[in-house]
Amino acid sequence: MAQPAVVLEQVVKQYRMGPHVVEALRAADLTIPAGVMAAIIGPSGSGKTTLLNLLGALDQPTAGRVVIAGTDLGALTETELTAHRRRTVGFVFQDYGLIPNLTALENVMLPMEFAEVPVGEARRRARERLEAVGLGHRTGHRPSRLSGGEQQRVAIARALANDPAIVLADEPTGNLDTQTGREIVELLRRLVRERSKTAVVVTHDAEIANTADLRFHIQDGKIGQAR
Amino acid sequence: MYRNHTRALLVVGVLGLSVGLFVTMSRTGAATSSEARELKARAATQVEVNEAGNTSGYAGQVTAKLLPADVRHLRALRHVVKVERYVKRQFVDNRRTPPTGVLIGVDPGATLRLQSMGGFVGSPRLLAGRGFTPADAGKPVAIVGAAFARSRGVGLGDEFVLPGAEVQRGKWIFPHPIQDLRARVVGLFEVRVVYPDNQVFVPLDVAQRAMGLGPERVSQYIVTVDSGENVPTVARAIKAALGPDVDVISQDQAALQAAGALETVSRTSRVGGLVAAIVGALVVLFTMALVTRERTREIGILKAIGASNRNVAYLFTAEALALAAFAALLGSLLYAVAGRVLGAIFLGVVGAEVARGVRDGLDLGALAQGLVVAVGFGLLGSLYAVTRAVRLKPSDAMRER
Repeated sequence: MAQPAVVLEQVVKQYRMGPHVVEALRAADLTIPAGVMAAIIGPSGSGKTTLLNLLGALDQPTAGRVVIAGTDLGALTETELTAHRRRTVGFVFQDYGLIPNLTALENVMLPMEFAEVPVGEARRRARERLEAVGLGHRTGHRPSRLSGGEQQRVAIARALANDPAIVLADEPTGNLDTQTGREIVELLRRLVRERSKTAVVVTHDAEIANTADLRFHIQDGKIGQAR
Repeated sequence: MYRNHTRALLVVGVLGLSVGLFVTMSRTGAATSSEARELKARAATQVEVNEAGNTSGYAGQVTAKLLPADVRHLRALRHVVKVERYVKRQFVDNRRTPPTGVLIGVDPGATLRLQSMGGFVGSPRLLAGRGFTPADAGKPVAIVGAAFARSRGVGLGDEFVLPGAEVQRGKWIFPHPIQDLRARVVGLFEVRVVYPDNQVFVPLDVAQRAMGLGPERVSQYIVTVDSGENVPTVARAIKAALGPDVDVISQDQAALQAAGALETVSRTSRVGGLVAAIVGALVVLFTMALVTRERTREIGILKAIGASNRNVAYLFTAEALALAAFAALLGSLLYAVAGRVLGAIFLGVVGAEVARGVRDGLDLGALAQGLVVAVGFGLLGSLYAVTRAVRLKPSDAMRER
């Protein structure tokens, strides 16, 4: 059996807010097999973004283990965590997170620049990713000249730039109208399937969650499998 | 930063002003300080001996005379290191601009001393050609100022004629004209001040002939003494040896006062430069701090998609340095303008060399200085911003909207 893409074991994440300690995740367990699209749903403040930050190595748990693509993140140094973010995961954000003064092509090339991919190869790969999301004709446009849906497509292309094993999407349809949101989720689903990736999509939209292979529900810092 | 063009332009403008002020102030400080040192050194060891009543040292203007034997008396005095002989006479040629100049005869090898209306104004720096050598004695060779060369259309190696009787026609008549002088230009100087730039140096004996003076007839001696403390003794000894027909001027007090004034200008300029530097560094510091705060989420996103701390530091440092480079360019241009204005002001106050030092404007040295200062501003000013950006945890940065 193939190793799971994501494993969380008894993960606790606490934040100190003044004199108070807030527990965002409470002994959370989660296993997501490789090659699926998983949806994590839950209300605001339930710990969805905290969970995604832990999966993306943007934060460390207070207790417990986070294992991504077979690597225990707790055992990695700061430099190794940076390399993990660069190679193993790709991020898609609700507000797209594109750099405003770079073109679509340059935005997609950026993670490859950080990974020291030669410029020619990075340019070729960025064009291929943009064509895959249907934006081969918009490579020279800056984000301000693109619609919300197009910007999110660029963000998906950027997330796939370094060919990561896992794509993490934080409310990827949150800023889009219903129809465009559906198209974006469908695109994400198609791409991860074609490229044998694992996608973890955090959303509060039940309709979008229903299109996923697996659904998890998060509430008060606890994760459970949803029906 | 460049996303807000108005702000970027404003910051470049303010920073450029700081760089320009710093370069102008430090150049002014350096020029005045070096002139003050030179004045002090000269004042401390030099004594001027003129014909009595002849404050300008122009030959033939008074009846008193320096005698041929005088130089031997001077050289024989204790503590005297060197005696330099000069003979000077003004000439006028109303057909040319500027019309008035000075012909100066010097011992080959002696210091070239430019004359202003009130006396010695400084030594010229040669632009081209060479100074006199002992082999030039008796030869019709000349070192001429740029204004003199331009008005006669002569350059290095060319011959010119300073016509004697003819040039004295006009409204200014000098009682002791210059006879026709034909000489070849071997050296060119320029101090960019009209009167000194219309002066001509020739070997002493050549000048004496042109002025119709006998051999060893001079109008001024400059006596160099072995140390400053022996100057009053030597001055008294000269007066005692040469009698009432000479004026002995040890310029200690006047020159020291001038040097003191220059040192004040120098100190003020350096303090001004330092203030400009601090203001420049603060401008970059606050701008970069503002920029990193505004772009906190972007820093988080960059880290999320794989940027290392080194990548982030490089990004912000490069932005600060690009800003600094534009500021350096602007600052150097401002210096080119400010230097000319200050140089023109200094002409009426201090020596020609100082004015020239400040006024020479945009050269490679000023550009390099501007660039170094601006890069310093960029690096220092971006230090806080870069440190903050590097220390930001990606998850904290991502929370910013």
